[in-house]
Amino acid sequence: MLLFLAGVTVFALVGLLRLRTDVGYAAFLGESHPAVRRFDAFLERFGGGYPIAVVWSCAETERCEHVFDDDALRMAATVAGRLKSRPGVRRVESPATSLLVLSSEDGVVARRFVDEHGPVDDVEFLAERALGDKLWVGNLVSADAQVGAILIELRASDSATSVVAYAELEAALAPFRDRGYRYHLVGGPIDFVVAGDELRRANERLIPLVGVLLAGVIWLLVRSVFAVAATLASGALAVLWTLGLLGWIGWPQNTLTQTLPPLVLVISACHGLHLLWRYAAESSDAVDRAEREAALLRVARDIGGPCVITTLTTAGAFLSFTTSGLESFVRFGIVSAAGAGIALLLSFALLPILLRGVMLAPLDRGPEGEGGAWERALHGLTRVAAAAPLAVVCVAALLGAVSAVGLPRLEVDVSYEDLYGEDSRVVRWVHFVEENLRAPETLEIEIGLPDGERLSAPERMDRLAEFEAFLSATDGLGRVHSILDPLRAMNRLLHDDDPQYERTGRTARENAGLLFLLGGAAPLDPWVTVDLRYARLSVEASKVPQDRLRELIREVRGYVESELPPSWTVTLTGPAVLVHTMVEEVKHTQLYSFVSAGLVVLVLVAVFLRSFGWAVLAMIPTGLPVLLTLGVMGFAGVRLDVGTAMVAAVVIGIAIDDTVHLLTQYRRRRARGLEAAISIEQAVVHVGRALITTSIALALGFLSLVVSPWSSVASFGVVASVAISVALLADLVVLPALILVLSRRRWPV
Amino acid sequence: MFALGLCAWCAVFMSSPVRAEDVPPAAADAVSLSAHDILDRALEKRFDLDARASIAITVTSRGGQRDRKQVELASKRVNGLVQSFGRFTYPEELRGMAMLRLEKADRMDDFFAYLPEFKRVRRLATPHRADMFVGTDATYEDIERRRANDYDVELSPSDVIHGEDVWVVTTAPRYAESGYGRVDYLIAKSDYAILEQRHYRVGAENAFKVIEAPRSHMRMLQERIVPTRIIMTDHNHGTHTEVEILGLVVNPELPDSLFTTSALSREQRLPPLDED
Repeated sequence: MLLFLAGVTVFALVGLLRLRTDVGYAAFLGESHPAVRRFDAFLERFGGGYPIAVVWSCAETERCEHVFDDDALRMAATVAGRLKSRPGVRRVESPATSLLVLSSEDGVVARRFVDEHGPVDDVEFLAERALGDKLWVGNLVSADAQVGAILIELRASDSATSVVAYAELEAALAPFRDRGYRYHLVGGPIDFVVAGDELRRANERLIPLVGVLLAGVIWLLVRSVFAVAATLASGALAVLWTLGLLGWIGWPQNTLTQTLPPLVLVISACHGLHLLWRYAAESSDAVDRAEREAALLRVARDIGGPCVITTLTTAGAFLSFTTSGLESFVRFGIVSAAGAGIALLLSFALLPILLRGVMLAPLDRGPEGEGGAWERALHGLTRVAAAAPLAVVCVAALLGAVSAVGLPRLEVDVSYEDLYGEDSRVVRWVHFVEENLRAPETLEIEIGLPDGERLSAPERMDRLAEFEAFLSATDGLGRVHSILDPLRAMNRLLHDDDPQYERTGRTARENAGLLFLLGGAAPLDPWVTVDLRYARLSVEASKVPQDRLRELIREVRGYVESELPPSWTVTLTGPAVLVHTMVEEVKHTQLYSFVSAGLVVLVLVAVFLRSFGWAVLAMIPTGLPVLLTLGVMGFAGVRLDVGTAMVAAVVIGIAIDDTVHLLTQYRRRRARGLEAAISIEQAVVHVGRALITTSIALALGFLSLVVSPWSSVASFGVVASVAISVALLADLVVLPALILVLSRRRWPV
Repeated sequence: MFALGLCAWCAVFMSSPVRAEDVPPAAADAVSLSAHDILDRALEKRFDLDARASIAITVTSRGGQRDRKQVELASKRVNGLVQSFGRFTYPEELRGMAMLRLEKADRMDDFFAYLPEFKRVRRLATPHRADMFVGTDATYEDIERRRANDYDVELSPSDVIHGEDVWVVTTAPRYAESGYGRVDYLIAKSDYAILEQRHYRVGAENAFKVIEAPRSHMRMLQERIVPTRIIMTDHNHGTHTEVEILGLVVNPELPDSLFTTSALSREQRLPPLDED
C-alpha cells in the first residue's frame, strides 16, 4: 500500500510541475463564455480596449517638476520604446512618443516631444499645445501637467499576454523606480496579475495558519503530537494529490482554485478527527499491537460508511458548481469534489498505516476521559432538547421562516475595494489615478453599420455625436473617446486652427477626406475599421457598485434600442461589462448551486439511509444554518460577493456530514430496539465530541481566511464559519428535538 | 500617398510577364559580387523609371474588413529625385482628392494633400519615417527610395523561395529613425528581382512585416523589373495591404509643372493612360 501511495505521490508531484496559474476574465468566465468571445472579437477588431495605464506624478518625485521636463520625457520615451516591441503589446502611447497634431504654416504637422536625439528644442511650445488638446489632457497628461500616463494596449485578454506584459512593464520601470519615480498601474491586466499575486502570497501564508489551527484542535482532542503530525501529513498529501490532479488535467489555477489547499486540508482533518477519536475510544483497553490493529479495523468499519456518504455529499455539493455559467466555478466544483474523495482515501489508507505501524501507545482520550466533562456536557445538551422539544422546533421554525423573508433581500455586489481589500496596491493605484487623471474603468461600445453603409455619412456622424453626449451625461460614465474628437480636431487644423471648424464634416466626402488626412497623422484602427463600417466608443467609467453598473448598462441599452437605427448592431463590452457579467453569473451560480447542492445531498442521503423521509429530516439541520446566515445577511444589508455566493453550496455539503454521522448512530441504536429518546441521547454522546471537534476545526479553518487581503475571500471564511457553527448547534439541539417531537407523534423515526 | 510611394517603388509595367527563364542568368557574374553589389543591382533594377499608372490598393484589417482605393498616378525623376502625383478615383467619397510627394535628398520626403471639398492644399508632415502610412501596413520609410548605401549589408546563406534560388542580403539601416533593426532582401539569382523583403524589430528573431512580390506578377521593360502586385503583411498587426497595378505607361511625357502644389489646387488632369 505504501508503495502505491508513494507512486501516486510521485505522479502528483509531476502533475504539480505542470500546474500553471491563469488570470483575467477568460480564466474566470471561461474562454468560450459569450462575453469573453465578444470582448476578444472587439480586441481583434480594434486592437485596443484592454489597456494598462502607467501613471506617475512629478509631485511624488524630485526627478521632475512637470511631465514635460527633460528627465520625465526621457523616462517616458525609454519605457514606451522598450514596451512597444514586446510580445503581446499592440500599441503604446506616452507624452514623449505620441503624436501631437498641430497646424503649421502651410498644413498639418504631427510632432513628438522626443526624437531619436532626446527631447526636442521647442518642448515648451509643444507642452502648451498639448495642454490645450482634448486628446491629450486627462488621457496622457493631467491639466496641470503634474501627472503623466503611458498607455499600453494589449493584443489579447488572455492570461499569458497579461502576465508577460506585466513582467515586461515591471522590468522597464525598475531602473526608473530606483531613480525615484513612483508608478501607479491601473487596468484589467494589472487588477488580475497584481491582485492575483497578492492573493497567492496571502494563501501561502494562510496554509501554515490553517495547519497550526488544525494541529491545535487535533491536539486538544487526542493529546498526541504524532497523531497531529500523521493527520496533517495525510491532509498535506491530499492537497498535493488534488493539485497534482489539477496539473494533469491541464486546468490552470485561478482565484477560486487557490482556496483548494485550505479546503482539502480541513476536510481531510475532519475525517482524521473522526478516525482518531473513535480509535482513542476503541483502543483504550488494547494491550498490544494486535489488539490496537483490531481496534483500528473496528473503527474503520464503524465510521467508514458514514465517512463515505459524507464525502459523497460534500463532493455532490461541490459538483453543484458545475451548473454555473462560470468556467472557474465549474472546474473548482469538479476538482474540489475530487479533493474531497482524495482526502477520504488517504484518511482511510495512509492514516491507519501511520497509526498502526508507528504509534504504540493508546491515544490519549483527553483529561476527562469517558464519562467526563465532555459526556456530561453532551448529556446536558440533549436534555435541553428533550425538556421542551416542541419549543425548540418552533423556535427553529420561526427563525427559519423569518430568515426566509430576508433571503429575497440579498443582493450580490462586488465593490472594487471589498474585492481586493483597501490595502491592496491595486486599489490604492486606482484611487490615485481617479483623483489625478481619469476614471479608471472603461465601457467599450462597438457600433456596426449594415453592409454598404459607411460612417462618413454626416447623419451617422451626428447620431454618434448624440450617443456620445448621452454617454458623457450618464451618471457613472465619463468622457467618451472615439473617432469624432480627432476628426473635429483635424477639421479645425485644416482650417488654420479656426475653432468654428471644430466639428465633423458637412458631407460624406468632407468626412472621408478628413479621415484620410487623419490617417496620415495617426493610426485610425483603434477607432474605426478600414471599411468605415465599425466604430468604437471608449467610455471612461468609475468603479461604481454593481447595482449602479447594472442600471447604467440598462440605460445605455435603452438608449441604443430607442434612439439608434435598428439596423445598427451595438455591442457593449470592455472591462466594465465583463465585471458586470461576472457578478451576474456569480449571482446565478449562487442560486443554482444552492438548489442543486440541496437536491444532490438529499438524494445521496436518501440512498444512504434508504429513506426519503430521513433524508428530508437530515436536510433540516443542514439547511437551517444556511437559511439563517443568508437571511440575517439579507436583513442586515450585507451583500453577497464572489466569495460568499459560494457559501450555501459549500456549507450544505459540509454541514450534512455531522448530521449523517449523528443519524447513523441514532438509527443503529433504534435498530437495536432502544427508545428514540435514549437512542438520540446516546448517539449525541457517542459522536458529539467528534462532531464538535470537527466543527471547530472547520469553523477555524474557514475563519482563518479572514486574514486574506481579499475581502471576498475573508467574508466567505467568516460566513462559512458562522454557518458551520450554527449547523453544529442545529445538529446537537434542533435535530434531537425534532426526532423527539416526531417520535412522540408516533412518526416512524 | 501609399500609392505614390509604391509608384516609384514598383515603377510599373504592363508588358509581358517576366519569367525567371526569360531573363539572362545573373548568377554567373555574381559569383564575385559582394552583398552590397547584389543589393545595389537589385534596387537599381527596381527603381528609376518615370511612369503613368493606375493602381488599386486593398487594405485588409485583422477582423477581415477590406478597404479598396484606386489611384491614378504619375511619377517622374527631376534632378535625380522622384516626384509623384496621384489622384483618387475610388471610392466615390475620395474621388478627386489628390496627393503630391516630393523626394528630398537630405531629409524625409514632402507630402501634400488636396481636398476638393475644402479647396485646400495642405502639407502633411510627420516626425518619424517609422510612422504608419495612412492606414496601410507601410511606413513612410517603406515608401522612400532606397539605395544600397543606405544599409550595412552582409550576405546570408542562400535560400529557395517558390522554387527560385535567392540571395539573402541581410541589411541594417544606416539612416536615422528607422523602425527596423534588420531588413532581409531575398533577391532572385536569375535576374536580381527582389522577391521578398523581411523586416525585423531590433533584436527580434522573427520578421514582423513581410513584403512579397510574386514572380507571376512581374514584368520587365527597359531592363527594369517591375512587380505589378505587392503584398505587404504585418504580422504584428495581423493586417495586410495589397497593391495591384491595373494599367501602366513607362517614361511618358510628364510636365514638371504637374508636380507642384499649384497643380494640386488647379485640379490639373493627368495625361491619359495609353498603355504600352
